[in-house]
Parts: sequence; C-alpha cells; structure tokens
Amino acid sequence: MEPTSRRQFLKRSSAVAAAAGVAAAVPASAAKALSSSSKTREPALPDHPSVDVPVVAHVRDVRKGLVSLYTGEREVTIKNKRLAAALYHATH
Amino acid sequence: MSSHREAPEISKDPVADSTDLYAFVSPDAPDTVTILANYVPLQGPAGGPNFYEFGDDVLYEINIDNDGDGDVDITFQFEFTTEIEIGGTFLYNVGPISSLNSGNWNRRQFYSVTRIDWEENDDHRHHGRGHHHHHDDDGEHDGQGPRTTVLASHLPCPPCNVGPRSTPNYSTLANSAIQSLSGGGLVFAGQRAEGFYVDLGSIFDLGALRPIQGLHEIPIPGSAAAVNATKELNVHTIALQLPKTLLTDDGNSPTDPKSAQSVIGVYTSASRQRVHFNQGSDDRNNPADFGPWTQVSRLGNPLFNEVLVPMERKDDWNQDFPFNDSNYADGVLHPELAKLLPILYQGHFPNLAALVASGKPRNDLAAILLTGIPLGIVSPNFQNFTGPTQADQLRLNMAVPPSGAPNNLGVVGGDVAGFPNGRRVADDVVTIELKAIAGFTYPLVDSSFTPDVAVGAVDQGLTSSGTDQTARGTENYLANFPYLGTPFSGYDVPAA
Repeated sequence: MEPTSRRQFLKRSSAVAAAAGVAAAVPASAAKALSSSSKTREPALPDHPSVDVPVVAHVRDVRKGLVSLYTGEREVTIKNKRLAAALYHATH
Repeated sequence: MSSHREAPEISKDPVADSTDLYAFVSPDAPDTVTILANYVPLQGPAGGPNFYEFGDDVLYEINIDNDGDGDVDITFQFEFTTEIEIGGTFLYNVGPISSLNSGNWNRRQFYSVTRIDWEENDDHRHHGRGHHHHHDDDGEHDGQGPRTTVLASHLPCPPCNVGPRSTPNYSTLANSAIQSLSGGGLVFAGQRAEGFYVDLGSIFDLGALRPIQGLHEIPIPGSAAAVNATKELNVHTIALQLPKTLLTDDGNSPTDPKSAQSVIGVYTSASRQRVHFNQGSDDRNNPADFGPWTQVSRLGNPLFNEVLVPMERKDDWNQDFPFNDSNYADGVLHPELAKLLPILYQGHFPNLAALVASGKPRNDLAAILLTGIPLGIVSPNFQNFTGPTQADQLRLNMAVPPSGAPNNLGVVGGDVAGFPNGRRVADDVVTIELKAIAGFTYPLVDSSFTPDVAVGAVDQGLTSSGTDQTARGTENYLANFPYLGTPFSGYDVPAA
C-alpha cells in the first residue's frame, strides 16, 4: 500500500463533523436503542456475522446529541439528538 | 528513577510503564543501531507463580524521528498475546523449560512486530493505530492509513528466569529467543536484568547523595557508600538491532557526524484502548477493550518527566507528544532542582545560586534534552542537533562510531558516543544529569560562568570511575545483543 499523506490521514481523523440521518450507519446496538423509543422503521441490517460485534456508546452531550461509539479499534462520533435522547430514556 | 513510576497514573499501571530507553551504535555491529525499551519496572525475581509479562492489552511502540521536526516518521509496534498451553494447573511450568517450545511450559507469550512509515507533511500530530472517525454529511468513513509492514508475527518470548529447576541454562534459553526480522535486524522481547542504577533511597530523601551527605542542610555525619536501589531487580525489555539504513530519512548509512541526516530522535511509548470493561462471567467471550489506542506512557531522555515536569502535569506529559514539549520547556529552562541545590547544600553552590537568581534560561539543558547539541559546542565535529523544535527525544548521531574506551559520563566525560548522544546501558545518566543541572554544562552557552567546585563532588557514587562499566549491582551487562544482562533468578534472589 502506498504511504498516505499524514496530513490527509490526520485531518480525516480529527475533523468533527455533524451527521444527518446517520442511524443507518451506526452499529446494531445503537440502532436498536434508537428504534425502541421512536416511531421510525428499524433500519435494515446486513445478514452477516459482522453486525454482532459489541459496541460501546458514550453519550458525551445529550442535549447536543453527541455520541461516541467504540468498536474494535475505532471511535465514531456522531451528532444525533434522537439517538442521544433514546439512550437517555433507556437508562433513566 | 529514570522513568520508573515517574508519574501518578502510570505508577499504578506498571505493565504499560516505560522505564528506560537506550539507543546506541552497536559496539559489536557498528553498521547497526540498538534500541532498548524497558517496561514493567522493579520486578522481584521471585515474583511467581504469575511471573511478569508484557500486557496483551498494551500497544508498545518505538518511535523514530529522522527529519528533526519533533514528530514520528517511523514507528515499530509490538503486540503481545498470551497462551495457556497445558491448563488444569496453577503452575507457570510443570517441569524444566529446556526450549522455547517445551511441553512443560504452561503460560507463554508471543508477539508481533510491525513497522509503520508515516509520510511527511506539515501537520505535526501523531495518532498511532486506531483513530477517531467522524461521520460527515454523506456518512463517508476515512479508511486510509500510513504504510504498514508486518516484520514478524508469533515470535516467542523467553520465560522469566524462575530458577535452576524450572529454567536451567537460562542464558542459552533466552538467547534462542533472539530472532531475525524480515528486511534485516534482530529483535528480542522478554525479561532482562535491570540495567539502570540509582541511589533512589538517598536522592529522594530530600536530594541527598550519600558521598556528600555531610554537606546537606540536614546532615548525616560522614560519607557513606551509595546504594543501588535497583540492584538485583528485573525488567522487561523490547530490543531492536537495526541496520542504520532502515532508520535514516534517505535510506543511506550515515558517515558524516556533521550531517543532519546522521541524527535520529527516539522515544518510546505505550498505549491502551480508550475503553476498558472489567468483564463479568457472562462477558468472557467478548472483548474487554474498545476504541483507538491512547498513549499512557512515553519516554525519551531519562529523568525528563520524573525530575523536570511538575507533579500536576506529569500525567498530561505522558499522554502528550514530543512535538508539544515546548509546553513543558520551563521545567528545563528553569529547573526546580537547580533552585534546590543551593538551598539543600548551603554555601556550596554560590555560582549556581547566582545563575538561578539571574533568571537566565538554562539553554545548555534545553540543548541536551530538547533540541540536541549544535555543531561545535562540545567538539568541532560533534552535533546531534535536530533543529529548533523542542522535543524530548533521545537523539543519536549514528555517524559517531562506538567508543573504544567508553566513559560512563558520556559527553560530560569527553566521550561523544555516550549520553546525551543516545544512551548506552552503562551510562551513569543520573550523575550526568545531576552535574548538568548543578551547572557543569552551563559554560557551553555562557563562557563567563564558572561551575561551583562542589559540582565535582556531585556523583551518586555507584561507579568507581568514568571507565567503570560495571556499576554496582549491574555487573552482568552483555557484550552482545541485547546487552542488558541475564535476569536474576527467583531461586537465587533474594538470597538467604
């Protein structure tokens, strides 16, 4: 594999970006939590064992909808007020 | 100590605690550089039945900066896995371990070595493996990374030195764990005898040195022989011996000591994943650690975090990167210990006291620890200067050949093949740094300054002279890779 520009790599790694309609991209546990407290249709999951990997969710700021998700060696930060609210209600 | 238990948080996490870093042109293979990174400090050799080992949940890294910007250009990563070979027994071994694949050995550890080449750019940041993703508006992920090459996998560590029944012929057994790397070089990972020596008990008892303790503000009459607090302890070492051509920016073997291309900066680090679960019995089949790797320990020059960084900032320093070390430069430019010496030894350091009172920055210490020493400062042909970026790295001019008569005071002793031009196993880094802080090296930047006479007496007293290469308690250094000695055995230490 050719070396990647470290600047490009780090820029992609560190830039904080809000996400719209991101629920389809979040792993299974978070999507389930979201659907359990909303009227939206449960996002379809691929029929593949990879969806069974554990995910840890950290609600950083429930009012702003900032949620960090940890799986494997990855950290995914999303902005989704509906998901943050669902996780709040699931734990209170 | 050099960096054993040097910060509050890492003192509670010894498996990830970077304790010492050495980097030197290999005396028996001068086309190569040896780098030794130690972890898991202060091992009592008899500490069984769960003998010491690397952490399976720790990412160990040796980092090389070969272009002087304070940022890493090459990373060597080491990851460990532990395997239970027998089961059904509480024992580390059920009979003599005579080879690395002995059927008597229950708990074994293996490791992989991966090289990462980072491409140069202007963004001076380092993330290590695993990184922070964010969803942008179209949900796209970044999936690129630096160039990664697996150099070896499933290499065996030797066992700890349990004793003559369990690990007979230990030296031979451990030597069989020295492995060749794909692309060139040698690697070893396992237990070694602690090579760092320090009179810890005296120095951290309000800055006393036993040979001159009668001069201390709280005197203990007379002088006393120094005590090596790390005597007969073991440590875990990751050792690399690499052709110089694999470390330079241009891929050539450096021959000109005056060339910037000849100098590399080295630092070691340890990282843990951001999230850890203490698992219950229902979770045993799930991973316990999640997320990108976060640095929890680092080490360049000995004693940097330990002595020069204030207590409340030590944990932050461990998580930070060398290119940010200008944020910690005040502890180098105005070291607390230089202020304390004239107080603790009243009347013996008047010139140092005047220097401190003047408020002048210690640019000598900044050169030694943060930028490297420019050409012509200590000799017409020596430098290990990496430019103005202040970064705590162990800088090695690889074009300086090994010394035929090494002096354990390194550059301070007139031997530019030793610390702070890299660091060899026998270098008395405690005495070197104490002398430097006491003012011995300030004339390098201000010829009008005269060091106090007492600087000559600043010596922790664990070596008999500059040419003594067998400091008290560390007599078992090796002449060959991995240079740090055969670890002490649990049967023999502590002695009756």
